[in-house]
Amino acid sequence: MINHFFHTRPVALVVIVGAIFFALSWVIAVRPALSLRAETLRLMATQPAPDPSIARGRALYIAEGCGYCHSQLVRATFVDAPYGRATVAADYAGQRPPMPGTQRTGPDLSDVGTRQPSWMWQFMHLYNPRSMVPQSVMPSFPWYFEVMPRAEAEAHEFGLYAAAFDASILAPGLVAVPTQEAVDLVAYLRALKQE
Amino acid sequence: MQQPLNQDGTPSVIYAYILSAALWLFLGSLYGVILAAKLWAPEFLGVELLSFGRIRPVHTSTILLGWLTLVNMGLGYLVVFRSARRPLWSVDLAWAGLILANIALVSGTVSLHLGITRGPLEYREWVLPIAAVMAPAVLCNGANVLMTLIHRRVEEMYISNWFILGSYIWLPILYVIAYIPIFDHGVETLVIQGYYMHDVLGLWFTPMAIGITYWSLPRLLHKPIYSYSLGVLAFWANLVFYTMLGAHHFVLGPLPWWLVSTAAMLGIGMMIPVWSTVFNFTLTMKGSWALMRREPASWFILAGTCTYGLASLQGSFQGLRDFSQLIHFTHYTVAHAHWAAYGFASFLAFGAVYALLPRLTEVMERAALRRAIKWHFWLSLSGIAIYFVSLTIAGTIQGLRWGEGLPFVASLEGIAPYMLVRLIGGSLMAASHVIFLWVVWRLRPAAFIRPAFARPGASAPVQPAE
Repeated sequence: MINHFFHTRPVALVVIVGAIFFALSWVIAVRPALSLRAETLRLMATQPAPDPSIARGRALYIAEGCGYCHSQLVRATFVDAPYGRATVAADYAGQRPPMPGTQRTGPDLSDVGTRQPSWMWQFMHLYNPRSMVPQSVMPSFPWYFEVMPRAEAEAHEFGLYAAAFDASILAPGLVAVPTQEAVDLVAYLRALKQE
Repeated sequence: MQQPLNQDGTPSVIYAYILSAALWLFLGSLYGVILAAKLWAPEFLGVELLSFGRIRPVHTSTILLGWLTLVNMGLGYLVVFRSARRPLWSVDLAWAGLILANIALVSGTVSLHLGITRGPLEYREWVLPIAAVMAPAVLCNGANVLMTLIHRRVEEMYISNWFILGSYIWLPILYVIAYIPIFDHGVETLVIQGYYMHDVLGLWFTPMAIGITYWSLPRLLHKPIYSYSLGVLAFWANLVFYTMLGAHHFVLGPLPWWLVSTAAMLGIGMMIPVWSTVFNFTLTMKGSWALMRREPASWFILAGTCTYGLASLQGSFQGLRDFSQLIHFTHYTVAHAHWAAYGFASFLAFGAVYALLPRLTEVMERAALRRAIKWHFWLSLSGIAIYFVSLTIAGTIQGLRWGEGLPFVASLEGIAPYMLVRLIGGSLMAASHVIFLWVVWRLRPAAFIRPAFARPGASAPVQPAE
């Protein structure tokens, strides 16, 4: 009786269930991943090197965990129609890692560069999301901005994007000027465009 | 249980696992409460190190890799050495596993706060050097469990040990595949992500919880399990069905359709192992209701068993296309994940700790602690119930409003009040963990025996305590 066999042989049990698990994993995960990888490598060979600012912005997007609340996966269903065309495998080629996401606490960002290309909107939204979308629950990212009097901002590298806010967010006379990090992050968001 | 078992340091190291797990549970649920508060009041604790996206993976990794992993390792050791009727093969190896796991957990927590992460890849966010500390911890414990069972002092290996041994061979394979560097870019990441994210639940947390309950429940009720064969059936069926259902996370996505269809189909097949286990446990309880009424540890096991059946049933249907397109990406899935990981896996762990720990450390003031355990039970149960119901409603609202084509903010407006209700539910669970920590502390062994490698000059065999 097979069960009696395993009841007295722990090593045999480990070897057999380990082998079964590995074989099933091979069929369901490793082999499909390997075959998809061949296509990914072929596509990557044709891709230009990313702009350094966009690449830094993507690294910040990862570090801040934006992908936990914003998906980058448009499914082939009417529910996802507002976010663009359905995502195909080639969209993820060269992304390390791709960020399809598991939740939409905020909207999908696969095509946000087309939907919201404004630098200024993105900066103000990043400084305080409630200033642009009152219902938003996104965290503010004030640490990617320098707050200074408006007169000082003129001389700043990114003074062009100095933003004033409602008095409940920022005292009158002061402006929030994006740092290089904020510029990189928004450059990445603007680059999220479906082809 | 007779004599020498309690005198070589085996109970001490098992207790250290459970205490350590209880501390991570307390910490992890604090993170959970902070996260829930942020979804209700987004400017709460608005500092860089505590921003939502940074501590979200800290919450999941402290709860899953800290609390559930360590408590299952500790309870797994307990079941293995009791059922093998001998002390652990190596107490030092068990200590080494605990210390390595805690080093990985502390550095993982710090690194995620600092934004050092592999990306939003659930439960494998830790960068490779930290995962490389966690992996040997698992291997130490797996080897120790295997050696203890090889040198068992009974003829046959009890069914619990099948599940525990299996878990210890499946997790390392899974963890290595999850960290293969060639699969961390391109669409193949999704294949590996679906596989890892779900198999770590189904081939580590689930079989550990079930294996441990196959020991804790009969011990508590003083009678054998209802059917041995059902346990064996569930063991094999879980291995075949659960391994292959991960791709259901990407229904209607860019993965090959055969992969997703296979996943959805095998997800339905999960009813075989799930209901085998559920019926086996509940039929074991049948006839012992009077005893169970007096024994709050068994309440956790009853609630955990029921949740296992219901949450798994829910999960089977969530993988189907028509349903998934509306509820995927919503809070509905968050409710499901918490119901399963907490209502099922954590409840069975609580039950096993309360059933087995007093016997292990020989602290027999259980009557005095029973009141606290009852408080823990009702707080946990009402907490997870409030949490589950509020988020299920919130997720349904989100799915329906998206399906109607309303603007995204309409879904935010719809769910706002439920975020507060969920915060209340989460706070009740966190409060119950303070009680749990207190009870675990009260159940500490009278004489605590440290590992040999921490005691200078200790080469002689460990002396019996006192």
